[in-house]
Amino acid sequence: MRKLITPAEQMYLLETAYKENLPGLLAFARRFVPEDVAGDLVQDVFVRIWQGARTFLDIPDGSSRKTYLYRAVRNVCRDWLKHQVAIANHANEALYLLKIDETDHNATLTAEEFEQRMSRVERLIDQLPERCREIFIMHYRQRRPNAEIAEYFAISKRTVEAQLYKALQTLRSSLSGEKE
Amino acid sequence: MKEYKEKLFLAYIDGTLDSVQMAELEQFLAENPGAREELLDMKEIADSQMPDDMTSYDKERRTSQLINAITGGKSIARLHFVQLFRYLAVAACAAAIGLFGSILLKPASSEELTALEVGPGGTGSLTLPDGTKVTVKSCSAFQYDASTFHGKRERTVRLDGEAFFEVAQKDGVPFIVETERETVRVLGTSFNLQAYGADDASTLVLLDGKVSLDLLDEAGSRVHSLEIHPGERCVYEKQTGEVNVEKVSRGEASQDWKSGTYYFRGETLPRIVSRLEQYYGVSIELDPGLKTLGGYSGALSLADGLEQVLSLLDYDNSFTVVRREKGYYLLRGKE
Repeated sequence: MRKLITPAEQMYLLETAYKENLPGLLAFARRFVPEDVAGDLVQDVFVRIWQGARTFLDIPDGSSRKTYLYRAVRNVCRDWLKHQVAIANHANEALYLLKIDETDHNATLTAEEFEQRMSRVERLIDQLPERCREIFIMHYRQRRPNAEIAEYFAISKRTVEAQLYKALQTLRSSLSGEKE
Repeated sequence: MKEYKEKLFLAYIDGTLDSVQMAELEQFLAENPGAREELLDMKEIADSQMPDDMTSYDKERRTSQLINAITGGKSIARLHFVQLFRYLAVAACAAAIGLFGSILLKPASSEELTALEVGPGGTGSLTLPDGTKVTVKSCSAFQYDASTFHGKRERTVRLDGEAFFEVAQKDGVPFIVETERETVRVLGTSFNLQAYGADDASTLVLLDGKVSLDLLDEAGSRVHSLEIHPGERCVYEKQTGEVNVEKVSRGEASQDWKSGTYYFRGETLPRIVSRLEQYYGVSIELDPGLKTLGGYSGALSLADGLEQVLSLLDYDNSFTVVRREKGYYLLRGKE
């Protein structure tokens, strides 16, 4: 039997879903599309959900709703990128095509699976050699430019890059190794 | 070779790739099977570190951007969002009244006066017993008698200053805002009313619904009576008795002053200045020669601060700003 939802409950549930997921979805969309576009696209997703609110609320609460939201954002990003491919010059076209590949990458994972994957990444980061880990965190988590990190450790910029690359590669291979 | 690949991969992950490098990367990926998968995995790992709990500033800015986009009239769909929200809010209140109305209903005997006064630069908001939301702006006084909200005939509030109303519909019971020089009568709607007793003019901007407006003369008797429709702004010149109704854009109508944007069109300098005085709680004197300046249109971000706002207003170098003392400014005309 379908549970009866009053308009007040509906509003509350949608608002909660919006507030809880907005930062994560924006960060997610920014992976694929420029920042200002990301805001617009995420908003479009919520507008559409709003217009068909019942359907969204029929999805069981929790992880499935989250999966739905992330997939929806992924899809609008991919659509946007496809449109860019159509109007882009050659150099940009290649970039957008690669970005489309990005939206397809691991697209079938549910929000739960994705989170598990990422918490494995967190664990693996802890196992990186100390200097390598520090550099990795400073750059990707704290968004500090390589030049600044190089200065901080009194090493060359080139060494910073090598360490970042090494970190990413190590994480990647241990991640796929763990999967087996 | 290894270094070359590293540079390209890292630049792609950081989003700093230029078009030449992009072409190189494209070629590299085409020639090395498996490299694409590797790059995408690495990008995913790097991205997972991107903080999504943006700093509070960032979050606020983003949310306000989003809200701006929603209310800024970019497209119908976006407006829909907000309107639906409002509609649902009203519905929710109506539902609550339906459920608890009988319990809350009590004889409207004594006056239950509630007042809210907001100082310079502040805002205050409150929800009335009927679910109506009122946001009272800088330097404004708002007052209502809670006992009248239990009755069935009308809901009356008083305002000196500026406020934004989202009036909850209530079985045909009118909602009435009284100011010094006008009476606004509505059923359920959203509008912004700016009626400072001390100002020369008062302004009403209607977002949706319909309101009827009575304009009063100094003695308090009615001189005009008119209906305002959505998207219209009515300016009442209290000195001359002139009334002006014009269409405004959705962005202007929404008067998104929560984000601190002040929209105006064909406005005179004295009126803009008086609005700035109210918002910032300062006193700004104008040289007599400046009082005739008009025709200002635009949007000012009040959050940028008074000095920045004044310097924007002075885009054509028609005055200099003299800061006499704290909170006291003089705009001096140029000869």
